[in-house]
Amino acid sequence: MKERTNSYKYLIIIGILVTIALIIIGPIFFLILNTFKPTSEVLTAPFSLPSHFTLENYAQVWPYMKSAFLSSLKVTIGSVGMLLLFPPMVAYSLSFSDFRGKRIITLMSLFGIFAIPVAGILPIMLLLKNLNLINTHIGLILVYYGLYYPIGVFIIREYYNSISPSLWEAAEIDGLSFWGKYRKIFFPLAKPMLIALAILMTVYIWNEYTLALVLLNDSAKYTVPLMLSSLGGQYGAPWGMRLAGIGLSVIPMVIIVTFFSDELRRGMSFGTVQ
Amino acid sequence: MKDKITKFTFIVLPFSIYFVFFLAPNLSIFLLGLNEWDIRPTFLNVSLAPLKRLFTDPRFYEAIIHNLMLVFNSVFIQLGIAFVIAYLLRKPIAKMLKTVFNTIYFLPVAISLVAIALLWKWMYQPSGLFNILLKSIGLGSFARPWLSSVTTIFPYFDTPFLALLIGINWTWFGMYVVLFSAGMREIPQKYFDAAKIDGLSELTKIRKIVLPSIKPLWFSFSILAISGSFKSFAFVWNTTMGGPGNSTSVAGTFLYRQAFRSLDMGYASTIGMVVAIIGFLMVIISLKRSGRLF
Repeated sequence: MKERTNSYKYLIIIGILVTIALIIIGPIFFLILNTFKPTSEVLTAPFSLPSHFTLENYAQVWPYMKSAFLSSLKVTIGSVGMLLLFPPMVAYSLSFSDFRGKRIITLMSLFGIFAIPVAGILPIMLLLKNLNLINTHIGLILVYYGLYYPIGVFIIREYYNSISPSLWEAAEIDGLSFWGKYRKIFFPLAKPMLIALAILMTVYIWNEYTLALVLLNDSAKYTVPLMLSSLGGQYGAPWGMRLAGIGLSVIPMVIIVTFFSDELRRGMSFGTVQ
Repeated sequence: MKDKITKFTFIVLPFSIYFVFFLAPNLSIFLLGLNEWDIRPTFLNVSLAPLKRLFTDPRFYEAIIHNLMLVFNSVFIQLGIAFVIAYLLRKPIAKMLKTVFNTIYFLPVAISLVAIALLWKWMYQPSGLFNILLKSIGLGSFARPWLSSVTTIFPYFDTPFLALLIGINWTWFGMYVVLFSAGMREIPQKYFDAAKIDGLSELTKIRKIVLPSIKPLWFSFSILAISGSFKSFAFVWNTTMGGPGNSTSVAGTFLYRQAFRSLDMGYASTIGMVVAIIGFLMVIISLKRSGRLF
């Protein structure tokens, strides 16, 4: 009797989980299916199999997406590079040394976590305009660095704070300088954190939309989200092309998520579940 | 001495870039928001007039109420469903299946928000997948052009907004499943073992063991949810642009429209300033209630 109720419950649970999984994956599946149909069918018969399999959507959208991929690559590598270089330096200094103004710097560095990007886009845009950095990838990289610097400092500082002070003392006894300790001990120590950070920041920056929308005007410089948005906007491209563009940006992510699912999920839950 | 130079470089360089390109602009929103200007900014005319203009503007309330609805939706509905799913995922199910489920649920979180927004825009077309689905399960009477026709369900809540909510929940709930799963893993197994020995029912187990452990997590995740709900722009803008009319307007779209359609950037920065304050306050309140305010 107990066996039967158990497997009955089990089936219901699996049923629920499977239903939800279908709800999630269904749209993505149909999206990809429809990229292989001519535009006329995409709007009228999205549910059915293609009358004829065509790659014309991909061919049409490729020049745009290629330019967007290159832009996004440039911006993401630039920003994440800066974020892996600088915040650890700051976190290290905040955790292991004292200096005048330390409290203020700490406060100001962490304050940015609460900032709401949408609220601050105008002053940032005006600033870049004045610095002649509007509509440049470099400007965007610097802004993305500023945007994610607080989280980087926060996470790494927490990590450094949890390390026993005896490590520092031992390094001191060995006669290492401030920089020496960082280079030989503390930076390598933070590697796992940095890897998780790198993965997280890459996903965030690659997909960032609002700031890029305001700071880039030239469609030749558009990052992937911007390009997709302009293709899908009011005066945008035909639907088949839009879906192909979306498909091109979704498929790599699907592959990455499938293979790095564990790391991604771990990176995302760190810092929140402590 | 050399150490002093190193320390200086280690702090000053990274911090100043952050300060110039992010912190200072965000702080300056308070000055910009209290001046009256439209294209050329001025800091010299500080007054409360822009605030008065904002607080007597019905569009402001429409947008903020929509934001608050999003907050409510994410804190209770998204977190609620995610909690249930995370709990179900803890049951004895084959490890392989669990990984598959987890990966699938997490997928929308990793995909570009813009891509998802456009995906839903496509699905909500009059002849699109959503309506086809409704018809296939016998709810064909509900089929409609979701993004262009407006039927009010209750004040400030129209059908396009409902469509938006569904899309948003689809997108984000997977992230909270991940977060809750991580949190639930921390609950000591011995509590469950003791419960088993005592023969407690499922519901009691949930009430007495899981819920109390989850409470602090719920507050932490609420902070994420709240700041996310106030930030929302990308998704809304790419599906409906805040329309039709103002039925899906949120603070972000209101700000954007003022700045780049009406070319009234001064007013837009006032909106930004107020949104920043509201968002900041809500986060502080959540932190206080969860006891994590430093």
